[in-house]
Amino acid sequence: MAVTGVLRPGFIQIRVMDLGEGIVHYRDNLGLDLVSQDGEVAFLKAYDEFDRHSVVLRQADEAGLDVLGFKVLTEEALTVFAKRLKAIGVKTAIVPAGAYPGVGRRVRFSIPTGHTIDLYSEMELSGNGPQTKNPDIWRHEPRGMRISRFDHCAVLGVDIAASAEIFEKALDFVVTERATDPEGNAIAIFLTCSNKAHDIAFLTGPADAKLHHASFLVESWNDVGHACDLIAQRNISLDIGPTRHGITRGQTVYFFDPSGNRNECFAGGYQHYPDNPVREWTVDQMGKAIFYYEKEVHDRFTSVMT
Amino acid sequence: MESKSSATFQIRVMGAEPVGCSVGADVLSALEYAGVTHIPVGCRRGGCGVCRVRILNGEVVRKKMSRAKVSVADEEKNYALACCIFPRSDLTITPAPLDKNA
Repeated sequence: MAVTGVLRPGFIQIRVMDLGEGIVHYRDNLGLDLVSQDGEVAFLKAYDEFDRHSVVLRQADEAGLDVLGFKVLTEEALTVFAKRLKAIGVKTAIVPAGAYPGVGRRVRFSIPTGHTIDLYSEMELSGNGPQTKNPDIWRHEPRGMRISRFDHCAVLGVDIAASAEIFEKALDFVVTERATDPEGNAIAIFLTCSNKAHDIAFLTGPADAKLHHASFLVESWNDVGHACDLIAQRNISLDIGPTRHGITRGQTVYFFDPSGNRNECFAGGYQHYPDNPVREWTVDQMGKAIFYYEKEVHDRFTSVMT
Repeated sequence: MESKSSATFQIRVMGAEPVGCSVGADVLSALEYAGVTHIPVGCRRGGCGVCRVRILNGEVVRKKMSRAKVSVADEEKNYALACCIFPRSDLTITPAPLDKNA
């Protein structure tokens, strides 16, 4: 499958309790560029992203995930996906073009785990994106953790099989890895719409609509180490890492933003092709699946969410 | 915080040895540093709510914490997230976890 339908997680909208602190963290610690700010909402992007923005911070009185947006290749494909969602009984609504700066119409729907998903095909190109004529590797030397782009998101809820099924049936996502309990219920489902090992992960949780983490791509293991240096030197709240996942094989460190939303710096991971078999995990091996080196599940990692 | 005092107050969590906490430190950090594990450590930033406590005795300064975890009514009853309170006197606190489904 060439990537022609849903392309990637295009933006994440995160609730923060202090917008100023949130901007400082995502701009100076992660190294994103602040694109614009409109009252209680701020828009940011990573240096290697062409589109106008990929992170939206909204000031609120609690932390958590507002919306996860997936970019679709064309308006025609967007219309088809809206029809396919309706055909399997998923209600959709339209967020009109221009509701957010530089963004076309969005097809919005909720999934059984309580998360709000947007599909869109049009977003203005950034004037500060990668160069396209005899390009340098970057316009400006990357700052902070040198995040190159927003990569993926892991979310928690009760009926993750039902949410994953919508992504498979209506949006052509493919399951790359799955962890199953002895009764045969999925407790973690990793799906891709591309060549990446995952574009979204669903984890079984005690409540719906929860965010486990927003993940940001860095180039290498060395950059994960550099992120750890900043976490230590700037007293950023560390969760766990640096380590490596058995699932996806990604190299990783987890930490928290100033409102307690979990962030990940992620490098590596294998390349997925749609003919690859699903990699299956059993509950007794969850330590190896999640933290390959430690082979132990960290209590905070499984119980802390926003 | 605004105080320039280097005063240290004693934090008592039910059943544990008291722990010193300076006016500029949040209660959870002081407990985590001292190895007191009666109160779980989560995001340390007021979002996840796992360090929810009830202040039984003493004065604190609060910083913003998730209203999904500590409502206005909770706050009036002295509930707080330990990572978002700074002592202004000796304190006695007790863990007050929310239901997991909250």
